[in-house]
Amino acid sequence: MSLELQGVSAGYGAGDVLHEISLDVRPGEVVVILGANGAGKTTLMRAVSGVIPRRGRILFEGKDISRTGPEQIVRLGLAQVPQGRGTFVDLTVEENLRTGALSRRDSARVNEDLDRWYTTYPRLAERRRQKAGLLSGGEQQMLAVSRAMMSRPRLLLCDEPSLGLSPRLTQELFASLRSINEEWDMSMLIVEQNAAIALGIATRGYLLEVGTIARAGSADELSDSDAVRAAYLGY
Amino acid sequence: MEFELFLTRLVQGINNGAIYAFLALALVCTYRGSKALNLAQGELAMICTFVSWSLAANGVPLPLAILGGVVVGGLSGAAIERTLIRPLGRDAHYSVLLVCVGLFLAINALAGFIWGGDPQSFPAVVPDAPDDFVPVMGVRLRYQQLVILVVLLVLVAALYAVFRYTRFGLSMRAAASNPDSASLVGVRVNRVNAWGWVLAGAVGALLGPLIAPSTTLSTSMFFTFIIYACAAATVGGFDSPIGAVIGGLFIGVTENLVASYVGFIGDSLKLTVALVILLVVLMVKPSGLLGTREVERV
Ligand SMILES: Nc1ncnc2c1ncn2[C@@H]1O[C@H](COP(=O)(O)OP(=O)(O)OP(=O)(O)O)[C@@H](O)[C@H]1O
Ligand SMILES: [Mg+2]
Repeated sequence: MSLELQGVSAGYGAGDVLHEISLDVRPGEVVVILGANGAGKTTLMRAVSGVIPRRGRILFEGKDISRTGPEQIVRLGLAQVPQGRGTFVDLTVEENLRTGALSRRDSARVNEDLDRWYTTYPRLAERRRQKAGLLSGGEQQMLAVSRAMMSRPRLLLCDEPSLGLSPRLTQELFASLRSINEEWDMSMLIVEQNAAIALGIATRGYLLEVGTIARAGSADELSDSDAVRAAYLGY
Repeated sequence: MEFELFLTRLVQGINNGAIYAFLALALVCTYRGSKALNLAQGELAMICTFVSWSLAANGVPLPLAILGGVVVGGLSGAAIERTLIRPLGRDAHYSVLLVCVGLFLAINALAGFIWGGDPQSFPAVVPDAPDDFVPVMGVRLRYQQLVILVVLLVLVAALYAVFRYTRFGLSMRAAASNPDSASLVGVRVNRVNAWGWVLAGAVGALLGPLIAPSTTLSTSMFFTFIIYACAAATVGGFDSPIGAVIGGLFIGVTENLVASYVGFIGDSLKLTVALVILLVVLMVKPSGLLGTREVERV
C-alpha cells in the first residue's frame, strides 16, 4: 500500500473537522476525493502532509507518519501541491522550482529534473527569470505541480488543481497529471470539485461529506452513483 | 576650498550612514524570517560590546575579544528567538514588538547592573591617534572609519551571496516568502528563522567594538543609532540587505549635508531630517526603495 489512513481525525482546535477517516491509495493508483466546500478536503490533505496535528494511523509505504512533521514527510517521498498553489511570489520561477529540491541530497541531478519540467511546461521555461507572482493562475498551477515533483516524490497530493483555471487549462493540467502518473508510475491523491474531469483520470474515489467518508468506489461506480451525479456532475 | 568642505561633509555623512546601515543590516536579518522589528537590537549589540571589553580588559587579545562578543551575540540571538519569539507563533507582530521593547529595557538594565553607569573607553582595532588617517583630495579618511566601511561592504556582499546563491539562502527566502509552502517543500522554518537571529546578534556584536572607540562604551551608546537604523531599514526596504545599506548611507549623507548647508537645522535637528526622509519614502514607496512589493496576481 502506498498510503493508508486508519481512523484519522483532525481539526483546528475548536473541535474536529475530520472524523475517523479511513482510506487507501495503492501503488500507481490515482485516487480522487470529492466533496462540497467545507467538507474537510483540504484539512484531510494537511493532516496527511503533517501541517496540522492529527490522531489515528497514517501509513505511508507501511511506515506510520501520524507524528511526523511536514519537513520530514516530504523527505520520505510524499509531496503536496497545496490549495491555492502556495507560490513563493517574490522568488523567480526557477527559484520556486529549486525550492522543490531543497529536501533532496543529490543536488547534482537537480538540473536534469529542472530541464525535464521545463520541457513538460515550456511556458515555465520562458518565464524562468520572472517573479513567480507575475505568472497567470494556470502557470502557477503548473509551477506548483513541477515544484512538488522536483522533490522526486513517490506519492503526490494535489488539492484542487483546477481552482481558478479555465476549462481548457483544467483539461491540459489533468492530461499532464495523467501522463505524470503513467510515466513515473506515480501514486496520486487528488482533491477535486470538478468531478467529471477528476473521475476521468482516477482509478478510484471517495466522497467526503462533513468530515466523514460517505461513499467509496471505483471511478465508474462513482460516476454512475446518483449522489455524485446530482451534487457534482450536474445531470 | 568650498568643494573640499563639501567633500569633508560628504565623508562624515558616509561614516555616520555606515553605522546606521550596519545596524539596519542586523534588523533586516531578523525581520526577513520572523517579521520581527527587534528594537532591542542596539541593546544586544551594546551588551556584547561590554563582553568584548571585559575580555580585552582581562588580557584577551582584542580581535579574539571581539570574536568572543560576536559569538555571545549569535548565541543570544538564538536564545531570544527560541524562548521569547517562537512561542508567540507566526503572526503575532504586536506581541513580538512588545517583547522586543521589554527586551530593550531588560538588557539595558542588566548591562547597567553588571558594568555600572560610567562610560568606558574602548581600544581601537587599528591605530586611531589624531594623525592616523589617509588624506584623499584634502579629506581625512580615518583608519577606524575605513574599517567600518570595509567590514560593512564585505558583510553585505557576503549576506547577499548567501541569500542569492546557496541552498541555505534559498531556504531562508522561501521561509520568509511563504512559511507554509516552505515547510511543505522541507524547509525547517523555525530553524531557518532562528539563524536569522543568530546572524543579527553577531552582526550587531561586531558593530559595537568598531564604533565604541569613538562613541565610548556606555549603556546608552545605541539609543539614537537604533532609531536611525529603523529609518534606514524602512527607507531601504525591511527585507533587503542591500536596501538597508543604501538606506543607511542615504540618510547619513542627506542629514549631514542638510545640517551643514541649511542654517537653522544644524546638528540639533539632524534626527528630524532623517525622520522627514523616512516619511517621504513611506508616502512614495511604502515597501522601501528596494523592498519587496507584493507582486501576487491571482
Ligand atoms: N485554519 C483553519 N482554522 C479553523 N478552521 C478551519 C481552518 N481551515 C478550515 N477550517 C474549517 O474546517 C472546515 C473544513 O475546511 P476545508 O478547508 O478542509 O474544506 P474543503 O473541503 O477543502 O473546502 P473547499 O472546497 O472550499 O476548499 C471548514 O468548516 C472550515 O471553516
Ligand atoms: Mg479545500
